[in-house]
Amino acid sequence: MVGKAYDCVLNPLGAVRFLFDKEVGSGPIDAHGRDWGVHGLFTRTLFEDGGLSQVPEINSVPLHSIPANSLVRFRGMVQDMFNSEYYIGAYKDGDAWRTTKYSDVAAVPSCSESSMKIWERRPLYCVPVPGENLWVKDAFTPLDAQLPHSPTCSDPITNRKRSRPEEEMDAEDTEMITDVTETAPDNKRSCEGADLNLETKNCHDDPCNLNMPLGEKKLLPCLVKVYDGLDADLKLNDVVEFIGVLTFDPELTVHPGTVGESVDCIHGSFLDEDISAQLPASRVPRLHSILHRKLSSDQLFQAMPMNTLGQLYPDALSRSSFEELRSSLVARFTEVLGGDGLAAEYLLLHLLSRVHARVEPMAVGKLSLNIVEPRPMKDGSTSFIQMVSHTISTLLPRSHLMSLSLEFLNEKLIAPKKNYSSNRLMTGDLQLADGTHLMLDETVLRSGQLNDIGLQNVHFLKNMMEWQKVEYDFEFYKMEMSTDVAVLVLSAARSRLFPSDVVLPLRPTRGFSSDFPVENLWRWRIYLAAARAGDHTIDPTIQKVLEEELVSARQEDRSLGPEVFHRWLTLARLLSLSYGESTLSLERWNMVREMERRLTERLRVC
Amino acid sequence: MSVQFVDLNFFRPSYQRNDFSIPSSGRRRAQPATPSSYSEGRPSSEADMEGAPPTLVWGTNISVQDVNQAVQRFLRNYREKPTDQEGKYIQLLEQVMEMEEDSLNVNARNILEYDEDLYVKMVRYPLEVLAIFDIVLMDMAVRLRPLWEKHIQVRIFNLKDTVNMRDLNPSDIEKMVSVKGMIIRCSSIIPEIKESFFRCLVCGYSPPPSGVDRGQVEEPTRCGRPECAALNSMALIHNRCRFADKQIVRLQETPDAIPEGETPHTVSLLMHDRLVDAAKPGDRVEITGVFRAMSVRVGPTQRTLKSLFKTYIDCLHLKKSDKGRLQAEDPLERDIQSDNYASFHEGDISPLEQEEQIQKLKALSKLPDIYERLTRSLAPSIWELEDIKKGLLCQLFGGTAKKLKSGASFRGDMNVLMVGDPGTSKSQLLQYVHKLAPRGIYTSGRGSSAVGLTAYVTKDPETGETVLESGALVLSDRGICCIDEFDKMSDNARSMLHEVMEQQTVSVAKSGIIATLNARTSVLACANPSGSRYNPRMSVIDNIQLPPTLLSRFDLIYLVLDKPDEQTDRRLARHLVALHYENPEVQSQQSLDLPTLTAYVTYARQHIHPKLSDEAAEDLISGYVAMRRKGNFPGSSKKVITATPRQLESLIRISEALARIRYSDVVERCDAAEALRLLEVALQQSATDHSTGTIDMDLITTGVSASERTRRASLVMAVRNLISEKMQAGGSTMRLMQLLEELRKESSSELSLQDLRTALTSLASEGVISFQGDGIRRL
Repeated sequence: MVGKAYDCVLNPLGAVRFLFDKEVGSGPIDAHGRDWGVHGLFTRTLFEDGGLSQVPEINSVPLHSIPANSLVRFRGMVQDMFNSEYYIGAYKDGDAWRTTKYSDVAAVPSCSESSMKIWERRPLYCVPVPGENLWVKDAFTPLDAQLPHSPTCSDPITNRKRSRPEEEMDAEDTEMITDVTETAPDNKRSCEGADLNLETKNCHDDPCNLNMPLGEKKLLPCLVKVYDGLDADLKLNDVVEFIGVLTFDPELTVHPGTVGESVDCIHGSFLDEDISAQLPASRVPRLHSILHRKLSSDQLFQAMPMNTLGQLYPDALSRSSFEELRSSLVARFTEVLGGDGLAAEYLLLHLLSRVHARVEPMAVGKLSLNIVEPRPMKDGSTSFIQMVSHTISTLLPRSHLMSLSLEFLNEKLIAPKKNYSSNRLMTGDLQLADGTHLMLDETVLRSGQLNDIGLQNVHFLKNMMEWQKVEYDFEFYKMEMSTDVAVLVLSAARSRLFPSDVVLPLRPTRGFSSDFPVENLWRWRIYLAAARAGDHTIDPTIQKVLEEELVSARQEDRSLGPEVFHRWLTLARLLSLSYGESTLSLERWNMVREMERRLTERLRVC
Repeated sequence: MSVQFVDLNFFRPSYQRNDFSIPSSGRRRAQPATPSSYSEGRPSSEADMEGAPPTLVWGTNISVQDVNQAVQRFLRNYREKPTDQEGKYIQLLEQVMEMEEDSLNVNARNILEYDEDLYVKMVRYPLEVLAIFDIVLMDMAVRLRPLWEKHIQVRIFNLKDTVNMRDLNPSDIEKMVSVKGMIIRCSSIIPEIKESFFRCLVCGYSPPPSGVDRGQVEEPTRCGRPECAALNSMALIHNRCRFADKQIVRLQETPDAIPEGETPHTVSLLMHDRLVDAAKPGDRVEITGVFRAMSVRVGPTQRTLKSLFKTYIDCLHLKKSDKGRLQAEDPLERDIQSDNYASFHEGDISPLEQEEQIQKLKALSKLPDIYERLTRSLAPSIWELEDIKKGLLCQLFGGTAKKLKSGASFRGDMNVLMVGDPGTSKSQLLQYVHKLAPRGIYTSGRGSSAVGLTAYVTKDPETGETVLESGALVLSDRGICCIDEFDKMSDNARSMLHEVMEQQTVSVAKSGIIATLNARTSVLACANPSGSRYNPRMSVIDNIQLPPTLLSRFDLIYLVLDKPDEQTDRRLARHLVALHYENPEVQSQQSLDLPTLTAYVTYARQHIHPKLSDEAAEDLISGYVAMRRKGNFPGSSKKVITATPRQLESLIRISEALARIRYSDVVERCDAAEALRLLEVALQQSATDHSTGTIDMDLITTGVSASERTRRASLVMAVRNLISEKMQAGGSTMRLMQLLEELRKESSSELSLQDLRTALTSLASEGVISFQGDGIRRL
């Protein structure tokens, strides 16, 4: 290992240059600027020697407190991918070669081409993970950096109370958006339909649109530059943690007063592909990524710092604890759903569903759920929706509640659209990372007219529920992006607008209760993640039995179509997974049939 | 030996390409180049060079003389066929000069074929080699016509490899590249000054116009006339300067080139002169040009460079293409123009790889099971429905359109209707065909209006002119228009389809515009039965609830029914279980992937135009006659029409499509037999008269089958008899149920209340009875 002539965390560029000099010393420099041992060094320092905990997270530590050119972390979703940038990677300063890798602007003297090397890097626009829940944010925030607030509050009522003053603060914030020091982790704001107006207004007023997902206001987006073709495994909407050098480029900073000038820049020269001009460095930090790792939902827990988890990892769950956790969670859901056990079972399976295979154009494995709560809208009924939303948000890493009011649907497109004049992808509410849970609240929909946008939005939502695809509008053509978003529809009557795989009329026997025991929370979260990620197969003998069952069921009832069978098979798979079993047993199959029988009965009464 | 370096950019006379090469030519010029023997902007002839030391292109070991000679050899001697009298490019040059054009298109593959070394040099050092090309060309032009003065540029196209936009990397800078993509934005035309003209404000003297170097106009500080010599008196006279057009265009990757889960890349293009406005946003193009990088200055006045570069492609040649999708263009309709000519038409010299692919496709077509294989490849995720898939396949391939001398034309496009129970994956089939089809437009009947489907007239808000805007059907000209939920379409919208489906045109007569637009589109529609499920006891017409006039225009009508059958159920079950539990990718090895399928169909539609063979024609005729005869029961007096001339036309189209599937130019007997079978399968399902079990086209054309009509007539007779027997004129009323009871006693056949009502209504219209609510009164 290289001697510690530098500090990887405080002076990463020093380390880079040190290694570069060594490389230059050993031979002619490479024309393509491949890695010269930087990855290896940082991997060792951060992951093996445990240096990771010293690396600050941009979104949890005030930006001004981080010195420029130091090593930082950023966790976000890749929202837009720009063209590769060509830069002078190395140049000859006198006799010595210098490198500008991992930095923004270097005062390169205009020198001849023979004494400079052009390399490329890929800028990615990353935003805070849309819909990420508070507890995930907390878990990633080092304890000493956490501001005093109650972590994962246990009561939605106090939760809402707490969010009130913050909302007022938001209103003030619109005046001084540039103030980025506010780092209090944000609340699940989506519960309040009221602030939707506020946030859209905010977007319009904003001269340089930061394109924040779901009206996110407090956290920062980040322009990440990826080197050495490491971006090959990154895709749009991936959740990634980047570790790299934070830079400030005063040349690129656009002060609020000179916005007009920057607009001129963009339109003045068509050739100008420099996205940075639109994104002031004060609000969009630049990060030159040295290492990154993808955080798909089951890897999320591995990536979390140890202290929050209490040494509990998904693979540590034994079969017996699976069953125990399952029953306690179902009991919990039953309480939330007013004592409806069947609904609790379905809700659990719904939360575990994910697209595990695609047979074009079908997405196998998705299970959308429509909970019908027909009782007249009283004050109590709105809180039911919040209760469910709150329950889900405390259990799943990412979730979002979309209130489908007419105003919301007619307001703006929820699918992303490419804006060619700024050359950026304008995000929409449906640009979500895989594994996000989406809850549609149809109870707020009143009769009225849907305009053009509204119709398209309904179409987008339907498409997402049916095929798990979102159409991104590239003006000259539409591109379908695959998603994996479980959709839960809450409606007062069976939703005709958004047909779900399972329609579930709720039969509460008592009031909806909401107190949440905190002690099991982490274990439930891990249980859900582990069960979701589980693998599943089927025995040939069981396969035969299944086939027979399907045939005879169809002989009995001709109205059973392929879609019903799809549902049964999906349910059977999820039920086995929920028990931590990797193969389907006849017992689980019969349980599914029984569940379905009870559901059909319920539907018949309706 | 002394070696001379030369900056070739000097002797590309006022050639605007170089004006942007900030890193390259700037750097080259900055070098202390030895004064070359070409200090005049014009080359001296070859003979002068002999004996002189070799002149090298700066920074390389390319000898200018060598390249010059190689270019001359190529241009003079290249012949496409050894038998050609004159060199191809000599001929073309003559044409160019005849037409007073200013550029000559050179096919890079010809260069590759003739002189690989020259090709490699050209791709690696395009600026230098192109400059030599231009010089040689001028030389040749002057030799052909001594007074020729116009500059002729070389435009290279059809490079051996096209790069993917996302694969461009720093090593491609300053190389010649060829990129495919779709144009998304065009800037307005930027006039760029080429020659500046000054006049002295004091004495009016103007020096001869001077060339402008890279957009930098050098203003003379003092009047050039020695008598005047006034300081700072020279003013630029705009209207006497010479300007050239320039345009910046953005090219974006086409959807098929984008890896899954990524956003498209873009690249900027710089267009000059002829290339300006040669393509519009939305066009798919293949461009050839030089990849450039330009360093970004931090500020306009600052000297320090940012470490960033802007990249763009200096465009040399642009070729519009539409290769991504199935190209439905008829070779007949394509302009037959020389590829080397006409602004940017580049012709159809098949590139080698395309040739290879064609060979591959032809090999595929030779497979004995190609028909089955294609059927399998069509929507592999949809299980069963083999015959429907075959029908759709025929629709994709299409028949040949015929135009008679008399002006009558017969459409080659087929229309298919699928009617069926919900959940029988009709929509999925539709989606799949849409993906595969040329210019497919997919609409849903529920959301379409007549105007949206055909065309509408609007007033342009700016100019006030009336403009025709095309609707879905016109837009899918030469494609397939997929209409989902056909039954939910408004009658008004549906009636617009009559013209489209037979005449293949859309006529508009509105606010001063009377136009007939082509809509040579195949319609693929799917509908649900009028009740949500198909009722086998009702006739097809009753089930579909579509006007018979429209229905008869469909070549194939499929009923996608959910029949109770244990065998199919078992297969469905196995399919579904496998879908959920096995790796679905392993399923279909024997089928073609989507791009191959598209290519296969494209090629067939473009190149295969099968003709009916005599035997096949015989078979079709006899088959048709047999179908017509089928309704005639021996000894039965009732005559059932089984087929109409429209069905004969359909038969011809289907058999042509089948021949196309085999890449055969002749429709053979087997095609005719399969066409008959397909039609029969479709008809048996759609036109079965449920009371007689025979095919009955009357059912489709009028909605009532022949046997049904006789049955109704006899029922009316029976009722009339009964009424005249049992009731007196003006007497008491009789209850409906009572009458039904009586009738049921008399007749042996089934009799429904509905039938009785129909019969009574017709009697009432004759004035025999009055029929109100439940009561019947004889008049």
